[in-house]
Amino acid sequence: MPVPDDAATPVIPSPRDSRPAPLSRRSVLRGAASAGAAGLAVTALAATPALAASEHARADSPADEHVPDHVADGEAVVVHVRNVRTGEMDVYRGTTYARVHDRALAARLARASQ
Amino acid sequence: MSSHREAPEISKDPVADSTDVYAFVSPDRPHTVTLIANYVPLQTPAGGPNFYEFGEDVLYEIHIDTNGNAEPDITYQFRFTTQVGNPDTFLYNTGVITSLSSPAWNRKQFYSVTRVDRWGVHHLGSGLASPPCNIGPLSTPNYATALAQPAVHRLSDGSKVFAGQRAEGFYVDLGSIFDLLNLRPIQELNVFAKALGLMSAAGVNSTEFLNVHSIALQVDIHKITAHKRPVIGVWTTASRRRVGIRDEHGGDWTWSGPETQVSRLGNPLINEVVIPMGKKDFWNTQHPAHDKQFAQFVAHPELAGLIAAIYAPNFPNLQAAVTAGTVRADLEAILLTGIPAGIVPGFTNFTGSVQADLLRLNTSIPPATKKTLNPLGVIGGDLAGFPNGRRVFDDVVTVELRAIAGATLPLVDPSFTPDAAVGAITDGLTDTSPGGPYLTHFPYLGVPYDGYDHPS
Repeated sequence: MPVPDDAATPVIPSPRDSRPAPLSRRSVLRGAASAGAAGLAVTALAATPALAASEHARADSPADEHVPDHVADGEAVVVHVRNVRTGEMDVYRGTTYARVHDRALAARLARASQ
Repeated sequence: MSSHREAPEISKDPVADSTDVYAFVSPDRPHTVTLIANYVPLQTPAGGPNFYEFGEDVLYEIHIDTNGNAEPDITYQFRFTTQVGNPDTFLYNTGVITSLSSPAWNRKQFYSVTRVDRWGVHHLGSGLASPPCNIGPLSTPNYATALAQPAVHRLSDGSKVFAGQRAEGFYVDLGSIFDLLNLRPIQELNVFAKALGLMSAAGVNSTEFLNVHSIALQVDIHKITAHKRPVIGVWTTASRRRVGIRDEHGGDWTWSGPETQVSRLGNPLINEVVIPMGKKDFWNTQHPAHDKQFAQFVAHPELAGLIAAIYAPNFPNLQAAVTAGTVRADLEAILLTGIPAGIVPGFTNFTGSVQADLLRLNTSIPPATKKTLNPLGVIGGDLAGFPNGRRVFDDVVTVELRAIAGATLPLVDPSFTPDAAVGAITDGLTDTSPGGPYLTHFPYLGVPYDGYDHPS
């Protein structure tokens, strides 16, 4: 039987109201680097330091390893590098995505895919 | 069929494949409208061991346009979850399923209903149980009363909802239509069948004794109409997350990103027989507000030329209209804008100039009486039927075939005379063609056929 909720009170945002998330280059980098990239579509389990350790140690300063507050434990961040040379990438997290242009990051991801 | 497997991509994704949409003033509760969106087509009732179900990874929606701009003013969202009681058995049920909470039912589905409108997002219900599939008399006895009826839930706003398996209500002779449009009752007129000496024969219902999964909602009219605007436009969509990554073992998925539309349906048969092959998948991703880009296929339907050619020389007037490039303003009105006032006496379901494939229902038209009821709807003199919305028993195949063959062209071009053969067009089926009866009450589609007896 139903467990009715409060019909009058908006509780959650509609998926259709989703906006691209304010993903920073660093958070993208962290997600991408921690994945062990498969092709150029990269998924990452944020806040899984063990997966990220070796790549991070080579690329980022310790300060960069801070996980942004808006990324939940275990939440996947998926990066689709649309064009390595122009650095065009789509970054997916939760119900949002962001279009990012970063040639250096795209090149790193491409190297990680080897 | 109406929209079963109608496009290449969605034909491979049945849980997201919308098959039919219905919208009608409820005959037994005329202050309400019933909206039904069907998914998961062509279910053979004997579907074990993995019986049919909704997709946990699919967002199902029913949209309502109340002001004629072809944008959703009200959306009902349905999300499903599955619970497996015992993963160590291969069985869907380990004994008799006597109720929706029966521990013998090993794979249950529950869902939530959310309404999105100008005032925000409203949770109308959660943890709502779907009924099991109708397995057979040993596993699911007393299906209608013990399992289906208890699965009709009351939402927090007073609306009724049901989501689960139903008997397929749509009827069509698919085998004949896609065999070079060989409508069996008039196949002696088909140039190919005539060459083989085939004579008139009865239609065959391709969907007889098949099931489908329905999402049905019954809502007070005032909750889904704007002030002094009784006509609503209805359509359904199914959406999936943009990204899915299968794990290395192949069983679990990681989903990410926003939902993106993979299926939609308003009027029956549009993506089926109006939209060309190369645009069918694209059409499924588009919003109705952008349907002007497809209007040419309604204004100059390929099917009209096929009817004239395949049944030559019985449609000379239709052939002349096709050859002249006549714009089918009648079809544009029926399918894309609604029928303006003054064309059919006492009737309109016009929503404005925006061309969009919406199922348009004038909620101020009362349900048909026994005297006026006709499965041919408006062209049969029954203003409560298709294309004024659509009832579960409406013969939309015959209506649309006759309309495309020229039956409705005089509504906008009085100089056009329909060919005499138009009245003979039918696939030979009627609302008695489905294997079981429709219901006279919510959710109106019949009790699903059980797998023990179907096929028999």
